[in-house]
Amino acid sequence: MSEITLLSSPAPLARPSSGHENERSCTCLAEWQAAIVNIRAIGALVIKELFRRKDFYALFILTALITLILGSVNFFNEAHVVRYLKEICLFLIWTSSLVIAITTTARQIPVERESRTIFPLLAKPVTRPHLILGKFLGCWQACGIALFVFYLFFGIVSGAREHQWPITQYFQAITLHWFMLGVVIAMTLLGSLVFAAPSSNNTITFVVAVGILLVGRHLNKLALQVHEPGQTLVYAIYFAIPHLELFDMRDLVIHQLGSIEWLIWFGALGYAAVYAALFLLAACLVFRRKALN
Amino acid sequence: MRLTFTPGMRSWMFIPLLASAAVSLSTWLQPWFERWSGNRSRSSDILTVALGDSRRLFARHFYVKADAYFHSGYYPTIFDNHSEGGKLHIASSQSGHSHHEGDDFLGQPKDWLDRFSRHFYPSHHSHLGDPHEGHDEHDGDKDDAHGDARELLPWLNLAAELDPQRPETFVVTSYWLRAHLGNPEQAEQFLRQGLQANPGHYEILFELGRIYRENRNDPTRARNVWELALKNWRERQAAHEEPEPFVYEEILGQLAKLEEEQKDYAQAIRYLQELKLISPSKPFIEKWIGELKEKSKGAAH
Repeated sequence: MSEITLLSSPAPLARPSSGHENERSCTCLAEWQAAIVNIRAIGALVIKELFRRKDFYALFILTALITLILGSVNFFNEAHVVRYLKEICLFLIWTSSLVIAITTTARQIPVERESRTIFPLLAKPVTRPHLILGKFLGCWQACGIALFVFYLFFGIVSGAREHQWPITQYFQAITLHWFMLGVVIAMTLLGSLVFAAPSSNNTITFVVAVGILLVGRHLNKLALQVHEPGQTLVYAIYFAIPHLELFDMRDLVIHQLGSIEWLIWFGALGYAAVYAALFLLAACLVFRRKALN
Repeated sequence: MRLTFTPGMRSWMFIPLLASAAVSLSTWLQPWFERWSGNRSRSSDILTVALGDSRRLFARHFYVKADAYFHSGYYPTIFDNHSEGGKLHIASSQSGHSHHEGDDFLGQPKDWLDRFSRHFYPSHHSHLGDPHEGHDEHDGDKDDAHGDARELLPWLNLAAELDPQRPETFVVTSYWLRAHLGNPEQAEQFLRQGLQANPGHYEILFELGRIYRENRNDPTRARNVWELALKNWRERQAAHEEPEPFVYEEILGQLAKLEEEQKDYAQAIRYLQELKLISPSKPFIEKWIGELKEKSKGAAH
């Protein structure tokens, strides 16, 4: 048996003793519980890493500083001018969150491999899928915490200016944003197993994510202007890519256009979950065959 | 006695040599740099120093951004088909031009993804202050239509800062300040800034005249400013600069109206006869001239 297979086989926490069927179901439950414990433990380490590193603090201070400076500008003695401030603050939040998500995720597995800490980490009972899922969960939770702080600041700044607290709209905006980051994190995790270095993974994922955000919505219009077989190709790309721009309801927040229907909001979360699961599955399959050293 | 230098000392001797070469070169280059047309440091404006001529592109972007705000984010991108003329809607509102209100550049959804995505961005034509359609009302109170116009100001101000040689920005900003926000003082101040950057520009002078006429009720100053605007427009036409004909019509029309109110019918008729030469609505102007002639006769009796 190879070293990889040995490391990959999970060990149950407890082995039940009565009945064959009972024994099998208890083993499954124990394995499931062990997997959750492992994934959560790995995820907690990633969250601690986010707090230790200075990326988040630097980006948050920069966002707050730029927003507050721009907020102090007087335009024709008109008080309560707020939409430009919301737009700039949200733009900074989106940029910062993408940077945090991609850079935090891209270095997770390469750093473990370089420092050789991946070997003790993959010792029993942690399997390779546990590691991938744990890293994903940690990065996603870390981004969630960062997003919460960013949006809290945004809510305070815009609320202080316009004296309105559209809590429902903010909740939908933050959840959609967080699920969008889930897709990006899963994509980056897959990239960290495919690309040679974290720097190349950072760049490629950032370009892809920004590209989708900017032109993803318009690919179908672009396809109509292209001759075959280009049209089919562009349409295929249009339907295949994860449409990250779906989760961008900044314009609705800025222009106070109200919240989205809950069913639509829930559908968008499901869409993100499917794409994140796809990328994670691909990452698990790639990692299963990957040499660790 | 012969001086001998170690290799270390020779390296140190290069420092004063290079320093004196640098000072000599700078004394030669400095006067040339001061005269060079591409020298940005002559400008006291930090934006000009930082961005150079590219600031005009950014200015156009922010001007368009103000128009996008006027439509509450419902705005065509470079990928969309839209039948917008040369003027933006915020400028059309100011000049009284008609705007193609039913401009539905999005059209019918092209696929399920397109249909689904329209829930996440403004996909209905509306203007600042309009009641929102297709979305739930948000919590809290809503600003009135006039107050919402203030949201255009940051982008218009930024566009004017970046490209002060664009009079349209000053005129449009002034219109929104005086007509929608009831702030003619700020509008006048901003127009004066515009006049400093574009001395004697007829469009800015015309807008300034409207402040004197409509907000200050000062017909004498309004007349003076409009007459200057008319003179400057004609000078530009004589210099083959192709000035905006619509502004010329507006100036003549407003002057005729002013003279009619001031009961100087002869002068009003003169303006209207000039206006008749270029206006597409000749029957209306002829009727107006006829009315003025009647009034003139009545005044003489």
